[in-house]
Amino acid sequence: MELVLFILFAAITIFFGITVIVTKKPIYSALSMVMSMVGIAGLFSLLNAPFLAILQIWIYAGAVMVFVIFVVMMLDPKDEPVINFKKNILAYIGIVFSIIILLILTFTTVRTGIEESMNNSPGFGKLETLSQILFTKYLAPFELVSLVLLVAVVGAIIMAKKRKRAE
Amino acid sequence: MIPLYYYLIISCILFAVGAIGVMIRKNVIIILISIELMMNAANLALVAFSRHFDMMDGQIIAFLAMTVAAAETAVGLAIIVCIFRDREKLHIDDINILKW
Repeated sequence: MELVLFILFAAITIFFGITVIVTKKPIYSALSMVMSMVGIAGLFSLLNAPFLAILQIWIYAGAVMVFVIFVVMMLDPKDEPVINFKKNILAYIGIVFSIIILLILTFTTVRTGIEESMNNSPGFGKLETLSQILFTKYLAPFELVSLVLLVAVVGAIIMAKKRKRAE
Repeated sequence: MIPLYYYLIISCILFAVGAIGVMIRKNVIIILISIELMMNAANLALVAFSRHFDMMDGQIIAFLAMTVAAAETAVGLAIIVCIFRDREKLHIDDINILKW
């Protein structure tokens, strides 16, 4: 049962991940990304991380991708052919490099000889345990991240604001 | 229980797909989305290791990475809007000077 769910979610993630980069229209790309996020959320819940699965859907599929979709609708970029091989020899090199990256990563993971997974302790993955660690051991990064968000909001507003050009 | 490296292989494939997207696409928005894809692949690996070693730390780092990714998208999209206002284009090859 677990394996079936794993294969299902993995297939959703990979399939829509590939659609992100092969569709012509940017809006389709953004929408496939939402589906890919949902697949990853499923994988998270299989990995005993229900809170992260919820957050994945809230933050990524809900907030970030809606933001991207709004920008796509606002700017209305033209459709473009995915790849123009005649003009663009660099694209071949890019694909070759990425496949090399894939092979290196896969071989190193498979060959490290990872032993059996440990059994999870009873509180593992519960929101209670997570927040206990988050507010004790990782309190400083947590506060810093709030600062990062504040700076990002201010920066985004300043950059996207209409400004008069000094001419 | 599904072995760790199934998840790691999914994560590798997702990362490679994102890398291909960054390298072959010319639209800035799609490049940004591909970067998100790569970040998600990293998150997946973190959570998988977190279950493997029975330590919650991986999940917390994934949580923080998610927050930073949201901030990054906000700033990136603001930059894209800014560029579009000046250039009326989103083609990556047209964005080749820092100031205009």
